[in-house]
Amino acid sequence: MIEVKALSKKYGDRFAIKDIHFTVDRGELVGFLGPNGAGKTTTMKIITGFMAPSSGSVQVGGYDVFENPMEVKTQIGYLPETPPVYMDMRVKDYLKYVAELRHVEKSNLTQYIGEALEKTDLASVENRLIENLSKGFRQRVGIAQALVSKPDILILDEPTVGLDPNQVAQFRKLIKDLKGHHTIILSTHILSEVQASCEKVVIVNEGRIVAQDNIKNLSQKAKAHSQLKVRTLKPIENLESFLSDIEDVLSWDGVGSQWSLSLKPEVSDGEIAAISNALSSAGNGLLEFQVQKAQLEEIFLDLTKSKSNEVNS
Amino acid sequence: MKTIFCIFKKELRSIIGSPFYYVIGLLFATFLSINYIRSLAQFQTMSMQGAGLNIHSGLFIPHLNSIYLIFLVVIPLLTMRLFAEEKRNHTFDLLLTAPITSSQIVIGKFLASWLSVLILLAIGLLYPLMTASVASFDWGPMWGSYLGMFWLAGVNVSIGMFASTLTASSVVCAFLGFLLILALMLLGSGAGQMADPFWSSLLDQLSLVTHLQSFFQGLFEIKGFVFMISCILLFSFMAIRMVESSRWR
Repeated sequence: MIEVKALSKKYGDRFAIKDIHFTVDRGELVGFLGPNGAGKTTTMKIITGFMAPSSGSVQVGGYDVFENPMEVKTQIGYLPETPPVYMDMRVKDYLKYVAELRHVEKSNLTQYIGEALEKTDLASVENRLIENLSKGFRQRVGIAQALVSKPDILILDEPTVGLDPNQVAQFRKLIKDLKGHHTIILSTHILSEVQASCEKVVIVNEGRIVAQDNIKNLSQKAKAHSQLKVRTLKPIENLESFLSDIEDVLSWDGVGSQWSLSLKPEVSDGEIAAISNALSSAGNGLLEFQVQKAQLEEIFLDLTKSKSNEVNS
Repeated sequence: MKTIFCIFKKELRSIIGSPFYYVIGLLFATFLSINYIRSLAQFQTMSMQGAGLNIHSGLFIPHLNSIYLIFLVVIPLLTMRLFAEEKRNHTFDLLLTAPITSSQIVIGKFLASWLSVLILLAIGLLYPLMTASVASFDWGPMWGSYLGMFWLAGVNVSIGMFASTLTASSVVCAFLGFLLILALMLLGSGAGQMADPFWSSLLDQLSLVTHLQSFFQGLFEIKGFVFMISCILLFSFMAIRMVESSRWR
């Protein structure tokens, strides 16, 4: 459905993105992840036809974004970083305007607008001026705007910015409802967001793709370590003596009765049991023993950090 | 066509729906009224002295000239927001990612602002209409003059719109528009200073004032039309290029 090939964008001498490749299949929900300034927005702007790349190409539904921009743009609903709302318009009029710009048939207008209002829970403010709405509401108007023409593809740039936790939960539900009906690319730097809703993740850092896979494979591939948190009643004097014969412990950190141990990614349950046995038999009074498997967060930190270290060295 | 109309409708509503437009309308009417009364008094004195002025050149041309002067200021103020505000509020993203072309955006916006200026121009037409109830005169040159003003409004709007595509700051856009319109207006006054007849006539023909004057005289010259329409097309074309170029930066 979306095919991005060797995409680069240069601002002056600086590459905002360099050699980005990825594909999104019909109906897929892809999380576009990266720290601020990684090139997420630039990539999305190029896919939507907002700006041209310095080199490379983007195909959407078989059409090239720059050779057939009209065909591509009718297929895409786009929510930019800042919701593109007119302060002097009422919510409903605004959605009508957007729907007309996106060539929605006149007979479908009322129905499409009603559905967009309902999905984003905006029916109660449909006759209010956008100027008078709070940031969260404006963000929802932005989402409604992307949905209103029922496009095949939704490109959402940080859609949950400015929403309160309830609305974020609602938004995740909305995304789940939309899944399957639309192909969705969602950019964010909030990791739980991606974990909650996306199947596939593309992680970018400093303009390059550092990983792209589904979340499960990523966790397995990542070099991130599982963490073991230990708390005891009596301070542990010589932790090294407990751990000297256990190979899977890479390093430890802590003082007195609180320790955190880094384990190898492929550590087995047996090894973890051995550690717990060693600790409990030492008689320090084991109060807490918690294994934390590598989360997307660590994978993310690992991938984005190691990359910048490589660049620095 | 439908898309252009859609943009036109939205723009017109946002111009005419804003209090700013009414403030401008009020100032416009106030300024015209004061000037009209003044030129009426002047015309009266001159007629009594037996200067033999006709009403068109004695009363209406000063009136048209004051409209022309106010347009110099008012039009950049009305057009400054056209693109600058879209950029500042990030709504430009919406237009550039919608399945519409840059020319549709520019034409829609141009027509809406042109119409909003023509509504102001219609206020200016009230003065000769009122005069017609107490005096009889030849309407021919009057309609000619208003046809000239109609095109002049179009030219100035297209210049103001082009200025608006240049930066994201409304104030800078208004000022740039003002300077451009002023430059086109003053071009002709340089004509008399030129010793070389080629440059003199070139500047003269490039000046808006020259062509406007022949409309005011009630002369329908093809070159006047061609000049005005060319200006509109030129500045609209440059505006389209500017909108287009924002995709490449």
